[in-house]
Amino acid sequence: MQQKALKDFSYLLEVKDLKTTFYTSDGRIPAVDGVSLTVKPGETLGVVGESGCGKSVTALSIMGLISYPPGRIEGGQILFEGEDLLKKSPEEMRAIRGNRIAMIFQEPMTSLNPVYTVGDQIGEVLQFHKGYTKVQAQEKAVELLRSVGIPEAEKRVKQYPHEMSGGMRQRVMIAMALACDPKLLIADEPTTALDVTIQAQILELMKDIKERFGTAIMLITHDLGVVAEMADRVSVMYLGRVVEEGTASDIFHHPRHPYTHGLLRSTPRLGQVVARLHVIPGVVPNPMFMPTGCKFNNRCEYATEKCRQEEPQLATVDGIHSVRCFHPLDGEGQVI
Amino acid sequence: MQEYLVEVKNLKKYYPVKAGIFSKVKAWNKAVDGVSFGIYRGETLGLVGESGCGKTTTGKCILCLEEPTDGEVLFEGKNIFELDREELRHLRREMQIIFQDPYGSLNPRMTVGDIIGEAFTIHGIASGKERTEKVEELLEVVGLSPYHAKRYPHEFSGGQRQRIGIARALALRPKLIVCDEPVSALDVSIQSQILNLLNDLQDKFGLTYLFIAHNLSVVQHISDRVGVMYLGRLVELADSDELYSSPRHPYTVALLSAVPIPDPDVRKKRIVLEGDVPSSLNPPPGCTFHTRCPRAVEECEKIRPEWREVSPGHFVACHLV
Repeated sequence: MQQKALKDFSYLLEVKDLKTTFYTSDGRIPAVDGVSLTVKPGETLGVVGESGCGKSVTALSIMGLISYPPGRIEGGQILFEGEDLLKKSPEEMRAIRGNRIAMIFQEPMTSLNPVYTVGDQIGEVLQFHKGYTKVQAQEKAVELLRSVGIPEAEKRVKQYPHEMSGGMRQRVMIAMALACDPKLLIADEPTTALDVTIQAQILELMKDIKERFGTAIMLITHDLGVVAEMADRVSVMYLGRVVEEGTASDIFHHPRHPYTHGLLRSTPRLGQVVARLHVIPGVVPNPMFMPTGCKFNNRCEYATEKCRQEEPQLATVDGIHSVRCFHPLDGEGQVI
Repeated sequence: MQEYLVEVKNLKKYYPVKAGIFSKVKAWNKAVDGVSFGIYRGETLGLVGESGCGKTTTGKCILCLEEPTDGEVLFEGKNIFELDREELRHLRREMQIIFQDPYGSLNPRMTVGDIIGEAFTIHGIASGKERTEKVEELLEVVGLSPYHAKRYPHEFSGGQRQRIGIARALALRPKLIVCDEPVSALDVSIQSQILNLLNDLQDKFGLTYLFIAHNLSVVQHISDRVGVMYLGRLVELADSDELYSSPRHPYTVALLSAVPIPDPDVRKKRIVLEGDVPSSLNPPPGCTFHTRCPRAVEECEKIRPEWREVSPGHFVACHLV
């Protein structure tokens, strides 16, 4: 905290106390409620959490893709290379989106436009941001398709999304995201819709991209295996908050938050047979009826009266390892 | 335990692909192409494979929800495709299914009590107060409360809905339950609750499961034996421990190596398979895996490998084993 000036230079992206709320006919839903996270140049940050924890809404807020109504960013800062993205006009955001920050989505089936060829769709990015002519853009598109490992790129560039398989479409999405050589790539569940052998191909490709272009990646997923494999640092989210963050090794070997610990223990692992899986009791509460105090208290085996009254803050426990808990585990707790 | 409850012999299911104004059959989609295995009484047999490998179709054929193109399914020694209507009706009580999608598989206009109790009415087992009691008992068995019977599906979370689906499957005290991706739509913390519940119920009621899933870690956790499918065929079947510790088929080896492990310090050597799974409309000749197999030889392109037992209880279809 003390080296504030230094800190500003060392982060590519710094999200501070972000609050994004949705107003629906059923009531007010605080989907993201005070999230802070950082991404350094060239690093991969894994953001994990179960459905409804606000990980995708955080990504969409960074991209400026929250539509009002029903959504609204009600507080916080999103500093990208020192500039606050929340203060940008829609035109300024358009120049950043797809250019300096790019995003790939979960559904490779629905996030491509079915009536344009993949070449046109990749080319559009280049024409818009870099002022390429149509011919130049098509040439560059072929080159990009080749760099993401699509065979016969000259032929593929003229094809439509329906002519490709799921893995191929995800490669096209990645090629499109890389078109302008972004500093930050936000990948929202990039392999969830894919089969495991295709997932392996895409993960290898993303590692390769990180090495070749030095792109920082914010990887959002619910799959702990994918995070362990890809991420340098990990933020664990629960009900619109970051509950724990640290290096991948901190999180996976020395989890301090009972939720992280429970999540790791309830995941079946290949090659390790246990008679019974650990269970986190109960379900994620409805965000409209949030528990008071710590949001995890109704499912936590260590919860005390204090947890039911007050909400803990994210506090450093060890180096860059922080946790939002009044009674953090000692980190030596056995994870299977 | 060494008695087959279900035996599948050379099961084939081809779907016609029609085209033109007279809907002429243009080609056959070979969803399941000659699959043979047995399920022991009281065990859990896992069936894994990537999308389109025919695992769900196999499950549906076993439940007599699809009529196969060829082959037999023996349930307690009787070929289920030769039964008459009355016998089939009776058989339906013996086997049930749990579906993947807990949202799409429950009728939103029926109360939970009616969803679970419907089977009692249809089979004339219980009605009125007796039915209500049985439903309430089932709700408790799956970890819900009796008062939930009067509610509608939309009032429940995904995990709770899956419990309702399980209660419905249990209603008639079946011998076999086909679980078709029962936890893929659920979050990790809910997934472990459902997996433990399935385990408990198996112990309590002596159930036999056919557990179909694409998640290899989940299948390993729940299964006694595991079969691996690729493009409509079984490529390997063995005891769960043996399959995961010493896989023999190159596809199984690659599939296992592709699973990301939740441990950042494990850097395993991964076999990345090239390309995509070919279409089952026009599967490659010989061994269907030869187009992606890192070890394929000439023989693989021509001759379909035989399904054989390489060591006791370990079946493989590969020329190189």
